[in-house]
Amino acid sequence: MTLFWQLVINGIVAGALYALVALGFALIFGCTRHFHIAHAAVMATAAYLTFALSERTELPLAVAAVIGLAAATLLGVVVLRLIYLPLERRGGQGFVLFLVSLGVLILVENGFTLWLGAGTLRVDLGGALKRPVDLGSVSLTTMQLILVAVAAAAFAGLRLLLRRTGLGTDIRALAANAELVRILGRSPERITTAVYALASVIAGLVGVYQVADTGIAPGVSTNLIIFAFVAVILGGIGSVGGAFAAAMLLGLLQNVSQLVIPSEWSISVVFLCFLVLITLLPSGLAPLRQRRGFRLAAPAGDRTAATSESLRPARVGEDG
Amino acid sequence: MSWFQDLLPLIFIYAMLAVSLSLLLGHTGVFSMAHAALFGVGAYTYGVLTVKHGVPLLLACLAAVVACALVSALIAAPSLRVSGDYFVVASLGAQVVISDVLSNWDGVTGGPAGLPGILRPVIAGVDFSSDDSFLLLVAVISCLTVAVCAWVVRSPFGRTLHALRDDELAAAAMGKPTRRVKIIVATFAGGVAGLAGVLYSQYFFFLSPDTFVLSNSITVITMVVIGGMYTVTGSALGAAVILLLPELLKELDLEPSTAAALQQMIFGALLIAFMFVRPRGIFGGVTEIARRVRAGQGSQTKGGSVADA
Repeated sequence: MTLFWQLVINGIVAGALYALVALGFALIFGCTRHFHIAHAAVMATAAYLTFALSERTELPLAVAAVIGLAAATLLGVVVLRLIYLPLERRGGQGFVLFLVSLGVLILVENGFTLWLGAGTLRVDLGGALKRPVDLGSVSLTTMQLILVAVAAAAFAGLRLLLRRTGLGTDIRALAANAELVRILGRSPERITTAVYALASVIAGLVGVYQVADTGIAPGVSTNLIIFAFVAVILGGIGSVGGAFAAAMLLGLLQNVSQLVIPSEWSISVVFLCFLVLITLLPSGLAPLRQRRGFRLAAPAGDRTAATSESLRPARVGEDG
Repeated sequence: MSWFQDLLPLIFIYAMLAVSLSLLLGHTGVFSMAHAALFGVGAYTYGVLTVKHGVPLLLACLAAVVACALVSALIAAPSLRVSGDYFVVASLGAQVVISDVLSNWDGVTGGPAGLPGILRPVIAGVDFSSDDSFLLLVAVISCLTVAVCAWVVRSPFGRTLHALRDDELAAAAMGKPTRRVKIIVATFAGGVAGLAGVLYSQYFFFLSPDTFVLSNSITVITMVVIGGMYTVTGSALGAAVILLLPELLKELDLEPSTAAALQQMIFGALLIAFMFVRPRGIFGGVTEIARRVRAGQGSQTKGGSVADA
């Protein structure tokens, strides 16, 4: 039984990590339908820069982390402003943006690999944050506790932002009807930039956590973004709350399944469950319990029509 | 030029893979991230059946193609009920699961150590074990496959694919069975990827799970995009371009790990640049340009004859 509860704790920690990535991706995807796989590059940038600045220079870790976070946020915004928006203006749809996003991801990730090597890189935090906290028969480190708290805070904060602030209203308006936002004289570009900055900060936090905990290596951030994709689809596209809940479930499933299945299969278990689930529930888990006011996009019935816009083939600059 | 002879079979094999992906990516508008995994399913099915169970080569080859087609259909069937985005995520999931299976199922696949001892075939008394004869075999099969794919694209079925790609709702309204068509094309593309996998395993005599990972799927996507995802021959040529690139990098005399990262960076930069500059790829639109030139000449001569009259 102790093992079970320890796995539940591990699952919540893993779920919190997935949830943070999924929150940002869900916000971007729900709002703009950009299949922003370069979100993983944003995460990796924060992680690699934190490592490089704290290990290769004399900067204290906290300063390195802040610079890493800032650079990650900048990358997210730059990718949007210099790549996605110009392509959209030229008529590029989801399909084109996804390819470009994939290009950014492999460019950035391999750039860091070229610079810092392909091994697992980790910064040393000293004892305090790695000290285990005992919760009866199970334990987790102080850092993991902080991660779970940050995930919960990010979720609550985002919920509050979307419901109670002007920016939140703008974001929800943009998700529902971009044309109307433009007609009302608001700039969709500016709202989208805010969304990207917000999501990139959250992804940067994940990157900083990752490099301080298990370390960053090629493929780590890609793995996290795949979990985020699965969470967003399972949670129901446009539902930030659904994505959060689904990410926690994925983390729990991945860890608790280790009771019966060897750990090297745990990722396969998660994806097989996902494939079975979308066969049975094509619109995800969200319709099971509608959350009013915390949805970004159209109601469940309209979802298929809305998503079909996202990954259409390229029709930019046809030359034939 | 011996390096080129070593590379040629690989180019033919990857050309099949790229063409099979272009059927999904360019012609149907379905974005699959699992092509390296399908390639692996074909290669490993053939390898395991022949090495561990002594199944006759041609039978194993057939089994590999069928297995691959089935896996591809299995990935496609549930996710095509819903639209585009789901297929990307489902195929990513399938890629991860299949990679895991290839490297973790030690008892069958040999795990991370790989699977050695694969044989090249003897067909109708002709032995294809030497490099030259094998190259000939690969070239013939690859060209035939590309030709069949080009024919499929031009056939009425191919036009249905294009209709689906350009406007799925309209195609459905015209009475096209959109889901069935997508599953058929996924099955066919899977079969072609499986055949490429079989040839790959025969070419190297050895399989390692590292070949069939996500980054290789992205490499194949790059081939298709660079070559031109809307043309069959363009995709095939894209494979050649992308495989020749590492050979150029070898001239720089870099460490292998550095060269690999640099190569991936170049792929990333190419993907971004091509979407801005030439979204139809290097070879996309070439046939149309040729046709326009020919049409231009045609109208000129016509004009001339009018003037003469």
